[in-house]
Amino acid sequence: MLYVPGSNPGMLADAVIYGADSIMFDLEDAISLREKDSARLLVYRALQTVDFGSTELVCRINGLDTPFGEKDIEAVVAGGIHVVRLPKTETAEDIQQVEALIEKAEVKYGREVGSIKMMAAIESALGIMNAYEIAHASQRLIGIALGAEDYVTNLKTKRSPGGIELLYARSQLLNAARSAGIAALDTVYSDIDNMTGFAEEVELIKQLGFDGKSVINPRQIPVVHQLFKPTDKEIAHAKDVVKAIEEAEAKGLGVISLRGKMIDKPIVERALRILDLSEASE
Amino acid sequence: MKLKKEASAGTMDSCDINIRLENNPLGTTNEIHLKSIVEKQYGDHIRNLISQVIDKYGLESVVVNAVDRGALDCTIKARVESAIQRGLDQAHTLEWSVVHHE
Amino acid sequence: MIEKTFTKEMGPEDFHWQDILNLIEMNDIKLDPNVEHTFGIFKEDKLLGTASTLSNTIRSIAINSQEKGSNILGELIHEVMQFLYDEGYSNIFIYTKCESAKSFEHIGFYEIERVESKVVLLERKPHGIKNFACYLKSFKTTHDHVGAIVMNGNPFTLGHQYLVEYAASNCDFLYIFVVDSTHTSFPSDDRYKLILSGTSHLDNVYVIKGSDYIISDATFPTYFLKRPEEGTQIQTELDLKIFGHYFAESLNITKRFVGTEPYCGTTSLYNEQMKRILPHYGVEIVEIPRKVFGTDAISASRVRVLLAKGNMKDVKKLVPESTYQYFKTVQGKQVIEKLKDSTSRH
Repeated sequence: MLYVPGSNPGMLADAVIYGADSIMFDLEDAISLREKDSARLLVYRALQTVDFGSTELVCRINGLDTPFGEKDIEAVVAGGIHVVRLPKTETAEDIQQVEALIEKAEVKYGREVGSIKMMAAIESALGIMNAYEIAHASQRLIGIALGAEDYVTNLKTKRSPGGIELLYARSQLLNAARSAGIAALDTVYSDIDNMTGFAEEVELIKQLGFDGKSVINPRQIPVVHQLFKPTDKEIAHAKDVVKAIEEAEAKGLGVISLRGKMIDKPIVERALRILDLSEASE
Repeated sequence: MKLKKEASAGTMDSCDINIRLENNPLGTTNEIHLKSIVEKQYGDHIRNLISQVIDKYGLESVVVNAVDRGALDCTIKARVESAIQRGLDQAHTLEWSVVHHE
Repeated sequence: MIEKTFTKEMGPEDFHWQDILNLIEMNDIKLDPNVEHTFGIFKEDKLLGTASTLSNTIRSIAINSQEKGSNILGELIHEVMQFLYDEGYSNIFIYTKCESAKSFEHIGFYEIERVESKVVLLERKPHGIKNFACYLKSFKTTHDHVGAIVMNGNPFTLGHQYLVEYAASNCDFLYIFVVDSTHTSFPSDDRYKLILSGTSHLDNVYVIKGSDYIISDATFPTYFLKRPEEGTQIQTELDLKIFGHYFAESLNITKRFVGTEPYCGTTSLYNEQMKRILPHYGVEIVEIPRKVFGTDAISASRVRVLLAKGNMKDVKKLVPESTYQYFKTVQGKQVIEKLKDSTSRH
């Protein structure tokens, strides 16, 4: 997921060429108070006009505790966003309030009700403690993400290269996400010049079980793709699994087997996920 | 309709367009003054686009000072609209369906 | 694309202040001593450009030579304009060398007037000066012989009153333009009101605030001139061309009245320049000897000196009653206090 400040027309238009799986237009932290209105309009017009292909389009709106949040939701729903991302989520009610506004806008602008998905960023200790309720708060929710900068400040610590201070939050958030069957996304890595440190962190969060990592610079994208990319052996095996399924279906067989071993549901799922990842990493 | 105050939107960064709006103290016509790095190829197109947005909001007798750095159409539209909404003191109050209506 | 530039206001206490001064020097100009705010545009820790402001003018603009041709000038000027718009100014002016004028036109500035090979004055409003000329036309009279006086009135004295009375009796209708500078002891609005009261007994006189288009010598920048000593000459030429082209033409002015000033070099140079330039615009110069009280001419500077000394008895002899009454008001007293504090001023 590539962060793009909503106030920068050059980056908005170019975002698609870097090949991120999804683009997140930011109306929140990256935008100064005086440009909230113009960034909202710019993102709205870009959504309406620019061909983003199959890229998933996410918009980080301002919180509903600000004067901007409600208008942001209306604008991006009207513009055609895929996912609305709520910042600083602390409770399940935060999610439900946003959901109600999304639904209202869906009706108003003729978009299919329920079609717009939601993501929630958790950026405080209270949010982490409520992660389970948040993850289960709405059918629209497709993922929750950790926002580490505010979180560590809230914890009264700061970020370290190893990220030990985030271990609890990452684990808690990941378990909450998995219990609800939604994605878990890790926080950004702000030091864009330290590519080694970035790669180490990506390896760590992949091992923990995260589905992806937010990036703030196009340079970081290949690293994520490289590390999340399945090995050639994994891909070959997955392709064999899929082929076996197709053959079995063609022959009308109920039981699928590959090289004499029966293929059960988890194996199929893993194979499909590997192919997804491999495609996403191209 | 007239602007309540002079207003600007957009920057002079590349791919952006800076818009400054004021009421035309003389006459009732709209005036568009454009400086663009792509004037030769797109000057008329940009002026038309600006003019369309102004008409959409029903503004009369405004002077536009536009400095274009190769902005896309959607950026031009968004910047003119921002400047208009600010000039009407409606930057955060305008009913969005007004913007959405093409 | 990612390493964004940022602009911030700077002061002598800043770590990068010396960089600002160096950059200005490398561009063969100086930091205008009158500026109120100075800005620097940076990429990470590197200074790419600088610009300063005085009221609604942008000055001492310098861009790092490696960035020429990039968009740094536009980004910087945009930020500075944003600042000035927020300060409440609606039009913005730039004085610059003739060879730099094009760069500013590219970022939405429009030329008002120039002194060839010396200076160009540009403004942000596409038709600022033309609109002002049209505004002036709304005060146009049908009289034949129309005269004009440009006046600071800092403050309005019996000397000014004498000049106005003389001028008004030597033409059919007289316009008085009040210099709209913030760099005078008395605020612009107060000076305007004192001129109004001091001339209210004359029905063929009309007082107009001079707007931004009367170029004051107090704030004219000379930092970009190769020979700063030419400053006054260039400023007066620029000012008079604008006066001739827009003021005189709009109002059909054929006479401009001035007081003689044998002792002040600046003013006498100005009068010489008028005689050289204004006839091109069909305007005749009429010099009127200053009114004398005691042994010296009555002048605003003489009144300010007396005010600073607290000598109200002598002040009373040099100003109309309306001006004298103003000195007793709260606002008048404030200005007098300031004069006492800074008696070093011209």
